[in-house]
Amino acid sequence: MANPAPNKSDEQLLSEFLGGRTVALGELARRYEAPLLGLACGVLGGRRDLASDAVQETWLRVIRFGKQFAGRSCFKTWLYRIALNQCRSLQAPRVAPSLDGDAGALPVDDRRPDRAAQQADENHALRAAVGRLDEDRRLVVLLCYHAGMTHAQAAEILDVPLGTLKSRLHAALTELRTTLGAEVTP
Amino acid sequence: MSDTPITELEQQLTALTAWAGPAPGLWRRSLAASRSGAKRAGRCWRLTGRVPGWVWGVSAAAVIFIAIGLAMQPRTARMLGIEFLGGMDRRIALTPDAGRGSESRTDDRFEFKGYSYESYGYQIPFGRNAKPNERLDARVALAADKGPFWQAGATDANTGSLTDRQVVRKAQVELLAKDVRAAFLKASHLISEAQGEYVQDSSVTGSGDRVEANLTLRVAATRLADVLNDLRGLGEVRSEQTGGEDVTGQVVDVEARLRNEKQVEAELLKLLESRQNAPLKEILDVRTSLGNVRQTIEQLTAQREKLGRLVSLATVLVIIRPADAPPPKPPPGLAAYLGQSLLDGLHRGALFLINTLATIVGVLVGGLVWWVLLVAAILIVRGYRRRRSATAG
Repeated sequence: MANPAPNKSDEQLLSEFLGGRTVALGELARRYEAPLLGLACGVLGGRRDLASDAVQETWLRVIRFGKQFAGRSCFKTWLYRIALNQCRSLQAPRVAPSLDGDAGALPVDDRRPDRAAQQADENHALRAAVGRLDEDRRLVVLLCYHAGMTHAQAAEILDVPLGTLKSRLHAALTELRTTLGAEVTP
Repeated sequence: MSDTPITELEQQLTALTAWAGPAPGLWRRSLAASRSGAKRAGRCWRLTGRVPGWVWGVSAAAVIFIAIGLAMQPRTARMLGIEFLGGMDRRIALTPDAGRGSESRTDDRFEFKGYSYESYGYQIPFGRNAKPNERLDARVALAADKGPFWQAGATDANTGSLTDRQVVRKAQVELLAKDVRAAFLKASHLISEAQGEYVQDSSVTGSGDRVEANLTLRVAATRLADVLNDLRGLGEVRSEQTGGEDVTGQVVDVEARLRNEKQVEAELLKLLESRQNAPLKEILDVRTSLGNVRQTIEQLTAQREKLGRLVSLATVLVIIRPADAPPPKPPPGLAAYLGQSLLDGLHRGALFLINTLATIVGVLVGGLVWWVLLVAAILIVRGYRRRRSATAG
């Protein structure tokens, strides 16, 4: 089995997969599955099970509708759009932030028990505060602070102008700080 | 990322969308699901084959459409045992034609359980469930009611005495004759037109050795015995049935009511004459009452005359068949009955299948425009859903 070159672009890998090379899809998954799971987990209020469902459904749509990818945007934004749509479909009725162990998607420092407990409380408070944002602002915040995501990509995924995205981000951070009582400034 | 310096909040937000641990390889499950045709439903996977949802939708619509079409088909409804009461009057209007050939056609038409044609006052059994004699009686009863109105005058004498029994007489004679047509002509000449008798129905069906003749004679009740004797001389009597229905009670009832109404009429007339100077309103009221009473008298008189016609003219159904006609088959045994039932079932099943296919073809062809519109709508919805699912690439 020929491994796809790591330096190949996403679009090339997708094309190879559509040509019958399953391993190309594996390479795409290696690049994006974990980030997608993280984003989905954040959007779905920390529900890892729902996040898995959303990502699994995302890959299914990539497999089924990959031929319809016309290249008008980059593969990454297309993939994230699908993932966000799946999260939206799984969100109704709106998912309450998980209070159980699944919320441990946030890494906590378990070397010091007191510090770990404090961090867990902060994580829960943050997730609850994000969950109270309206959907536009919540998605902007989650996408903009998602690993490796630029503002331009986030704007393209959300299909909003870059200026709109930044204004929403500013408003969302202000609201979060107010909610959390933070003293930091942007 | 934000151009602002990294703050603790931003670090926590970044951690909020970070996945702890390795990727579970969900893409493999999706790939396997795609290959097996499985469709995700919530948190479960269910196998639906490779049939997409729109196919199920179209299939369901087609099944409903065809089921409605089938249910609206009279032939299918008849197969399913649904009775169409709307067609009853039309079918009954065809029944009075007497005769063996007509009888077999009647059997084919009347596959329902039975009807009650109450306006004639008879309970008329039809169809395969009715016994042969019942069918005959029904025909004779209907035929007896078809006498012309001018016959009424000849019957008053017979209904004059209420102490006599008032009986509607009917008879059936089945004859075997070497020359069916000659016997048919002789039978039709047995009536005496001078006494108001007439041939109500007559028919000759078939040809050669299979010719059959049928007559329904209306003869004076007093001459019934003579006519039957004459008929016996036309050939070999295979069967003969006579019967009568006592309508004395009905006649007495009608006569009593008629007398009563006439008495009321006389009283009203007397009242009208004695109160000539009464207010106009009272006179008008009396006249209205008088009109109602006279209308009732006319109805009762018509009923009495009708009963008189039924009583005065007996009905004779004559069936003439060739002398060398095969004898009727004996009643079948259990095995033969089983075989015949299976054959009938097979026949009915085949008919149902044919009707179903015909209906399906009718629905497909007749609803072609709708099918095209339905397919177009499905394609539009499907394309829209695909575009939505795949998102703009």
